[in-house]
Amino acid sequence: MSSLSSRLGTLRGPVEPKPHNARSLAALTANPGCRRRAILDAAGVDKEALAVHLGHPLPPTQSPRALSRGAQFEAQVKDQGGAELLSLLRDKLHLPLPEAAHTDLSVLGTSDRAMNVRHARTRSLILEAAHGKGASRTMLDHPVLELTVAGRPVFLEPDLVAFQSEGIFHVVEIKSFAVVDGQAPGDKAAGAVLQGAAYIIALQDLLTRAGFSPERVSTTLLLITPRDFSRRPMASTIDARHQIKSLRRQLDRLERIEDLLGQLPAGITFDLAYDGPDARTRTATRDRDDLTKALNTTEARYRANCRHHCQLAHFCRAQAHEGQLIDVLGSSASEDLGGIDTIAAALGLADGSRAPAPDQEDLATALRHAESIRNELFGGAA
Amino acid sequence: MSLLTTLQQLRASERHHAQPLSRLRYLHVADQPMLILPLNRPGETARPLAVMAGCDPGHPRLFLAPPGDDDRFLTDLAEHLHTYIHSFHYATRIRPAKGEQPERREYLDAPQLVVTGTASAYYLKMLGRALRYRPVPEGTDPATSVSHLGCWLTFFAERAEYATSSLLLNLTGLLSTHWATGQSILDNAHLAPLMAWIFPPPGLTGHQAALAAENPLQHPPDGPTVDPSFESARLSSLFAALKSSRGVRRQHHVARLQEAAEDYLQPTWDLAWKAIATLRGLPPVRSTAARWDTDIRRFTAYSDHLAAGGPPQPKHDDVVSAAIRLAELEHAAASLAASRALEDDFVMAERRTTGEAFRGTVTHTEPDRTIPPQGPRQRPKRRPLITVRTNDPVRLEPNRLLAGPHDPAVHMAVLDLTYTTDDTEIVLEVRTRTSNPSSVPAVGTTLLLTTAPDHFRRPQFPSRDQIPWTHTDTGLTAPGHEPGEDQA
Repeated sequence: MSSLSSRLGTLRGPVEPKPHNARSLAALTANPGCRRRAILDAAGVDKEALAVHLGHPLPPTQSPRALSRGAQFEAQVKDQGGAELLSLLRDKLHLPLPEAAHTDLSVLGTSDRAMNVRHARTRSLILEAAHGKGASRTMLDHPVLELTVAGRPVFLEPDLVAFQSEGIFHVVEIKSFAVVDGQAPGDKAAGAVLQGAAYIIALQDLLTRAGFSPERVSTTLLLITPRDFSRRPMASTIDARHQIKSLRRQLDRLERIEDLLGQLPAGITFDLAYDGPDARTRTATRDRDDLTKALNTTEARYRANCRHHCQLAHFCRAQAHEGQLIDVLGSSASEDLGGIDTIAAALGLADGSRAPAPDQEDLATALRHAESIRNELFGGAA
Repeated sequence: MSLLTTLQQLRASERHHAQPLSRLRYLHVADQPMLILPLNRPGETARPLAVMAGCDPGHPRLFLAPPGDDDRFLTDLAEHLHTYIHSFHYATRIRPAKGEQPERREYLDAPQLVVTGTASAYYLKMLGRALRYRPVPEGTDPATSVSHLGCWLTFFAERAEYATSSLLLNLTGLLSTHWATGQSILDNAHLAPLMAWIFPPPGLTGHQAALAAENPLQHPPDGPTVDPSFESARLSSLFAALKSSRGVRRQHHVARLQEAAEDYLQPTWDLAWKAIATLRGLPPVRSTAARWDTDIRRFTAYSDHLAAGGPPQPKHDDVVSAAIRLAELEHAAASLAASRALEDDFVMAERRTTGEAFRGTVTHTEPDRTIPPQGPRQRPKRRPLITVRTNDPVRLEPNRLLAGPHDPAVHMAVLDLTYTTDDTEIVLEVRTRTSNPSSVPAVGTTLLLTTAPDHFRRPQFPSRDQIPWTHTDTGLTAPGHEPGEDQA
């Protein structure tokens, strides 16, 4: 273990690991075949800083106003001891009326340093509830859960954990996108479920470690969103079992990162060689070509949708373009040309100037046929 | 997508600019369509910040909804769209009675809305949903109301789901059927990078031009989502200022917001009209006019519905309407694919790469072949045979009906397929127009054949009062999601 963490430490350099959050964990399930990202994430490398230093920053994708509207909605729902929330939960979870109680853990502080304290408190409150002891609490607000990612503890902050008298815990996510006529926008709902899956896993782990069954945690996520075009909240339920399974698989994979590390040449590092400790004033002094060489020892798998979940996407895109990889043409071309890496190779097979490998015979025949039809339609190969 | 499209993508990448796909357009492009560029207020659902709209490329109208002043915006936008729509209500024609259909009055032409992509089409649908249940204020004309604006937007957005409809054109979607680029479908969903590949500025490759078009401050991406960089740079301070100011100060901030919205939308406006002109320049396939006729009929019917005081579209289709709609959507897609194959070389060529079509030479014919009577009172039937040899990789099963562009009305069935190492011999039996001499081409003729358009028989659906109890409670569906494609 210590040799692993020292290995990862060498990759990262003398900086704090970039902390994971539910969003970055959710991203693990997208494009899991990318080894470059698996290694960078395991080592806690700041991918955004890498991309900026390499001249391929990803433009911001979060609207500042949407963020503040989201925070406002959450505050509104949780206002007055979660009055609005409580009536919604009573409805959906059949929370017993007299037991309704709200515990806000943010009173313990919201700074990063308070995370440990809040986690300890969350843990003891949840275990109390699981044992059926202590004051009956039905809502834990701003709890902090812990998840082990690549051997390191990561703190996660779900919006809310609700407890039902029958002994089941529920993860509640508050989102500001509207559910109109019972339908959530697909991409946003999918993102929310993946984040919720990270919280559910963390909660399951907490309970299993204390000897409880993971089945005490509901695998159905409760989503609180504005209803239709109003600011009035509504509750929906989403089955998160599939996402939990797939996220668990990716987390296990990060645990087995040694296999991937073993394939790297010794002494490789992604250290940006900052000239000082202060994050606001320091400059990265790492030679760019040298850094690129180091990154090239890891195998990237560029996909057109990488930009939605990986800050290094534009760097990998530029590399894919430079290498004339089929990947830049998108998923349908990649599927059509499975097994062929470059555009030149595919064109060579199509015009017959390149001999197919034994496993490419069928595809080469189809390509040559398509090419002859293409020539009939659009004229010579010029 | 077909291997042919993929090959054109590869060529686009190699040659640094977009390569042609289909050269014939299957949707109608009106002489005076209305281009609509919606821009949503960040962090809200279907609540516009601005809409740029109009039929004259040189004179865009910008409708601005400064925070706190939505109503004026909606009335103005409604008036603008209603004026356009109602202008088609002046010219009518009579469609004579046909079969069971009585004689009907129809409009001569229909309005056409144009958006840049799927996201904007979906946005109009959501905006329509947000507006169509608004009450019509007492003493005002419903025909110019915000509620009717919502109904019309819903009408256009719903028609856009039919592959055959031209009432709401989606520019990036259409351009992508005519050009292959060296980038992914995801990148092609934005107008600026797509147009950059089709018309790269002199001295730039398509890839370089598309990269240049990615800078959100120089080339704001088409809406309806405001780019976050632009929001931070131009809008955030204005939103804050508008919150606290009144009177002249507010006027000043509103003017600056107007400027920002114009700066954001103007490049897309110009590009979109260039795209419209480009699409209009492509010759239409023959069946395009018939499809537009169907659109005009739909427009007439919905105009009549609203004029008669009909209610807005329901939030959810009941099960019968939903089933009918699904059947119609499928039929629209299938009939479009079939008629395009017979009218467009490219679509036929694509089918040849997938094995659904082939080109071959007639090697043998039996024009006078007859088959014995099928029943006691029937006479022998004339069923000519044709043998065709092709080296296309055919994937057809016996009994499949085929037709070709040489005479789409002649349908022939596959009787037998014989594969040899180099080619395939196919024996065909002519089933329609059998007495017509042209239905049996001479030996040596080259034929292009693909599956004949299926005859569409509308399935029988129960009437609304006969829906079984198991299907009557539709309830609310929990927000669904599709697992990401990479999770396999």
